[in-house]
Amino acid sequence: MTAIDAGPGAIDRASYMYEDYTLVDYNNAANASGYINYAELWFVTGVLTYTLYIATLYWNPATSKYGTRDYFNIGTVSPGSKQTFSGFLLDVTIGDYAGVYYPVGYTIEWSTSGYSGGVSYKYGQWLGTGEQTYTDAATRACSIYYTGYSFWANILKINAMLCTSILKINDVPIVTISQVNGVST
Amino acid sequence: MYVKVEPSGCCVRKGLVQIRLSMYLDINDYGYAKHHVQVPVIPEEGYKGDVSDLPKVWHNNPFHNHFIFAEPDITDKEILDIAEEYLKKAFSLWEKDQQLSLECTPVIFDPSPSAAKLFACDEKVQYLRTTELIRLLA
Repeated sequence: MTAIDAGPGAIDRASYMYEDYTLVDYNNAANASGYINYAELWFVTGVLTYTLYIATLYWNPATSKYGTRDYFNIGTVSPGSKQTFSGFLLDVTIGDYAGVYYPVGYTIEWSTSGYSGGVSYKYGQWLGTGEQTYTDAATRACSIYYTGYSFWANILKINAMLCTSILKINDVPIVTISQVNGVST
Repeated sequence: MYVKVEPSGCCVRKGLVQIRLSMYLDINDYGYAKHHVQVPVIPEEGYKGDVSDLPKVWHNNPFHNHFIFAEPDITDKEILDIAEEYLKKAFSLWEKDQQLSLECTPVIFDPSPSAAKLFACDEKVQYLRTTELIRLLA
């Protein structure tokens, strides 16, 4: 099992980015394929009636656009401190980026310089809407950080089911299985 | 400390009811000050001025949030019993300053749920969004 992380970190930053954006932070791409099951976010302001989405996104060099790998409705997020979330599963592939959509009333902690990567942004909610063109903001960072793990190196799903949803195969605990149909896990 | 069902994080997901559990600290709990913070008050319609100009209020934020997925016939007691267990696990990590990446409960998502199942899930979500479910832990 390999630990996965993506995103620059959810910290109290010197600036903030205004409301109603979909962001892709490309400072720290996912280091392996598997699942994100933990998220940290830090917002400056928030209106606790509007819901947010966290996401993993990929870059398509052929079209110079970002697409959504997976996204998840987390509900509202309280501002003013690092908020942490667990218990969900987001698909992630090596090289994917951490992303977030935050609606009207929210502003996210933001750094305007000092990062080797940056943040791509687009006004409005664009997760799950096909590949999209975003505006690039180099050297920036926003306060998101996701972690997870690679369950099996070679098999993510069996019969369209996430391996993390399966307890046993033919009454054998999944954690003890090293091969499935001749394929090394 | 206490845990409550957060209505905004409840919805239908892949044939199951998604339930968000938000966990809060009391004033005497370890690390209370980290999430008892002053936050700017944003108008409902949004705000694009300098947020430092806005009035602030004290807010007790969750120290952690965890999602569970359940069949629509889950009872309030079952939800709160699960919530209490996760609260204990989360606080155990919190007081050791460890990452609160609680494990997911293995569930079987239904990729093509029936209309009746979706209706039952939707009804449960509507119930959770209008019912306060909270469990205090001494």
